[in-house]
Amino acid sequence: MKKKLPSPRTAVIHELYDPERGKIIDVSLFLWFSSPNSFTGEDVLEIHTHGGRAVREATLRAILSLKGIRLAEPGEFSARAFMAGRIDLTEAEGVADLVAAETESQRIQALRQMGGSLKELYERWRQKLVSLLAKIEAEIDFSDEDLPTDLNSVICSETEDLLSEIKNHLNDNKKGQKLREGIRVVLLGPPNSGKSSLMNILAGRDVAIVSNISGTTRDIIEISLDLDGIPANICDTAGIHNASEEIEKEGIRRSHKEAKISDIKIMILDGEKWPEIPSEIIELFDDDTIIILNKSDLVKNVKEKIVKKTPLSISCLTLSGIPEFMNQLTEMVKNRYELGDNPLITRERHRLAVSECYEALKRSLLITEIELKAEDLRQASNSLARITGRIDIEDVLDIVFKDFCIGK
Amino acid sequence: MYDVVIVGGGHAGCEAASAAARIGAKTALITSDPKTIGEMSCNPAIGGLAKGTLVREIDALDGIMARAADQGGIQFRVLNRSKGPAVRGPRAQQDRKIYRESVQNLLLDQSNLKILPAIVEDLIIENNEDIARVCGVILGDGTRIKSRTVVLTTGTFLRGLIHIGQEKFNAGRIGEEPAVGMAKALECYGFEMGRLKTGTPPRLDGKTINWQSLEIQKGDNPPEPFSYLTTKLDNEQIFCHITHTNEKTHKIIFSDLEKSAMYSGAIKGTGPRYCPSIEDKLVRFSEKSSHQIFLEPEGLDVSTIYPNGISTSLPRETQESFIKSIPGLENAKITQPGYAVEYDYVDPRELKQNLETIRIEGFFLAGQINGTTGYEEAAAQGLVAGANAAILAGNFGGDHSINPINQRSFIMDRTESLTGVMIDDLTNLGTSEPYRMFTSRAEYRLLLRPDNADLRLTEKGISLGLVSLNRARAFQSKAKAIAKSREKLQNITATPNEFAKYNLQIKLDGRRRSAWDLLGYPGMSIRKLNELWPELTELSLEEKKQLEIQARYATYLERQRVDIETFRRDEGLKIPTTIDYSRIGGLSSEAIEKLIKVRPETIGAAARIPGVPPAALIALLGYVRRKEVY
Repeated sequence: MKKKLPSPRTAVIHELYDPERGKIIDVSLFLWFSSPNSFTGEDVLEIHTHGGRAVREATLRAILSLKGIRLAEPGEFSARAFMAGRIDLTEAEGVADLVAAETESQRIQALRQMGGSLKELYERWRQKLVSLLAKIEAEIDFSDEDLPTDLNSVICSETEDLLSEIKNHLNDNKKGQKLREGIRVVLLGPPNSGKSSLMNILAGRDVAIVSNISGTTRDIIEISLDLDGIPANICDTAGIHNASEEIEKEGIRRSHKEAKISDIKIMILDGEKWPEIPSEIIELFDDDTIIILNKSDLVKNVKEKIVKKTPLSISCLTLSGIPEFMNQLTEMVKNRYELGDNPLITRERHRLAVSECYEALKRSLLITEIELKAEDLRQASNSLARITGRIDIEDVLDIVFKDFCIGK
Repeated sequence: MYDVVIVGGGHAGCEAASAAARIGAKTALITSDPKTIGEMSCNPAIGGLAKGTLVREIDALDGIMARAADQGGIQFRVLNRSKGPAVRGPRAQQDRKIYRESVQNLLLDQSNLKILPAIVEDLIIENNEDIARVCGVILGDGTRIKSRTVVLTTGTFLRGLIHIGQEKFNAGRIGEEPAVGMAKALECYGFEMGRLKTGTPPRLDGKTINWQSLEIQKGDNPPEPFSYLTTKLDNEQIFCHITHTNEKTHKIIFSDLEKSAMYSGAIKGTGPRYCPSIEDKLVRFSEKSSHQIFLEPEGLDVSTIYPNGISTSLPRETQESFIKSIPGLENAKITQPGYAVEYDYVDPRELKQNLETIRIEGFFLAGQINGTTGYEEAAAQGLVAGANAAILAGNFGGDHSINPINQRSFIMDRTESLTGVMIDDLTNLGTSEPYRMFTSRAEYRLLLRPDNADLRLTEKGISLGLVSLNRARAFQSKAKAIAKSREKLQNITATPNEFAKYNLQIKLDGRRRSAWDLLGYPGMSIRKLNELWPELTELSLEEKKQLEIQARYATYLERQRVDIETFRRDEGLKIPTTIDYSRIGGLSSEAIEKLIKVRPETIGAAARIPGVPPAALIALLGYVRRKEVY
């Protein structure tokens, strides 16, 4: 690689030389992307060497011996692409998510976002807002011109349309964020019912200490699982009962807190004590609860329903019922969290901006004065702009002059 | 030796001259024909939406436009009267002659101001090391007039070229010579120049119009003056009339379209999108079978009519025939054909926020030369340029003592005036079409209203010495009364039950509210609060109105206050003029190019440049912050 550059975007095979010693390191594949037609918008040379550590290290050593060259920081290529305006923030976030993706649905979601699915959605809303602003600004700034007489009702109905679209987007049970961060599944139950044993089975190794001493688990232990492509974080908790000891009390307080923030609860009951269920456990049952009776090796034939649900019998000792339990859990998770076709909100920052946009639009429908309506619409566009970039008044005026015959 | 020389006697030149002289600078206004000072070259009206607010802002700083328009006004009408106070626009048809004479009289009465009839051909420039500084102007006959600063306001005269159909001739206005020497000089000094276009409709003889058949448009009764000082309007008030083009009109225009200067390709300059010629309207909105025309009288004792809505560059004959197709105008005589005029303008990004050019110290530009359109836009810039020229001349050793607070310049920012919005837009973004003010350009529209221009600006004007003693006293007493009453209203609090005793019905939720909160409710007024607090009756009508508006907008204004603080913080982050953008990591070459072109003075200004990505701002901010530390 001493002389001239290959022509852009063409793969060429060439000897790779060490500049200091002038010796060949490898025969490699070279791809040259000239600015601005590259991912970062800068000049980029890609070198594809043969595999193997020695080639890689010799190549890196040779490259780094050149002046002005250093290793990229993690995420630096995306950052540069963003800085250069080649990708917007949602796309950059998509790249980061893709690199970090551990399950199939995370990969698909990240890929879509990187491909601009969220950007497209927000861009479409932005266009709608610009068009709304154009109408209301025309009504304000050019009221003495020949404007359509029904502008106000059009503004109103378009606002309502956009509002319901945004509402649907927000009303997603935080699916996108859950998929990105993992669904929280919590193992709950009375002490010594086998939560930690189940945890160890799920983890496939001993992550939790198991003993037949009631109250062994005090702190929250967490593992990650891939449930048919959907990421889940399973947490083991301290058994809930009327404890007297301070440390155990704190553990139980944490169990309750975990129960509150979790997406799915797995209630593990002691088959030997069935059908007695402590009241503080019953209180925790809801639609997102899977009930299992452990120790089926010791107890037989449990058929009664509790709280309208049939409990699932398992044995952490013999592993009977475990595959059925895994199926039920995976089914439940997939029903609730499988990716649909619509782009989902993946970050709290986006949710905040979109919610603010939603609130402002709602206000604009309630207020009667047009200048205040316009102000709320501006607020709405400013909120959305925190994700998509600023809406310039020139964009609005462009539409005003294009759509309406303005001017005397 | 003058402190300030103003070149040009249009709306920008007049305000500039008056402002500089008010501050106390020894000022000369040079114009080729002093009789045309204050001429309205296009429509005979002042104000309108946003424009009316500009006029009020000029008045708040004791400028002349509002007072002259009150003297010349023959039909006053507040546009958007049915909408809220933030988007209303006072406007008045003018008797052109009375307006012009009023402007001339106000200038003649102004001390420190001399009017010189002459043509200016060039500037006197002194180069000191790297800095060029203006030292006066050179007249057509070679005379040199020395001055510490110069304000150039050439309007459409810079290489003005008039088009009527295929006909074209050099002129700034019909019958007036263009300024060619000055245009060449500016080019020589390296100013980035461009070409714009504007148009005007044919003028009609009112005696030949059949008025009976036409719809009447009345003014407001009582009329609302522009100036905060005007208490009485003297002129008889007239009607305007409305007529419409029809399919016959459109057919005539379409058949001669290629003879229009606009469509034959004869015109190179860019025209405004919001002020299209009639041929433009027909082409762009072909689905419309009719366009409205306002017939506006140009004065009380002249019969000239300005048909607002049919600006054109079609040939004279076509103008004659399409006019005759319009109801009421069947026999109308054209007294002056409509025309398009092309002229040079200087890219306003050549200017600092005080309207001084970056290239030449002490040299200011104001009005249409900066790419704007409209009397009001021109006048507002004139005021800013004139005031700043006077301040700078004082700093250069002028003998007027104008700097009690030792100000280096008089900058109006986006949070305090539409004038500030306009100048900030121009100096940062430049313009590719004649720039007109719209209320929608202002982020803080609810604050920048026509009703409170004095409360926003007069205090600042007083501190600069721009404002007469009379106005200062009147303003201060008004401002005090309003502030006192507001405080009082905020301090009167009561429960819904207690308010009910005074006939004020509100939701019985047990929540204590202040009388100020109450005043913000729709349908509430000071009158209804009278019983609660009888002294309120002592307020003037103007003061009551102001309190009602402030209370009504209070929640929104509070929300904007937060935005304004952010704005001020960003505006406070100055970008050093010596900055080398190429040395800041993380800036794309595209962003660097834009930043170099505009040279924003602050981080806030940089953020308003289209195409500079947010990431670039972060990088820039990081750089500026680091610089601040060292």
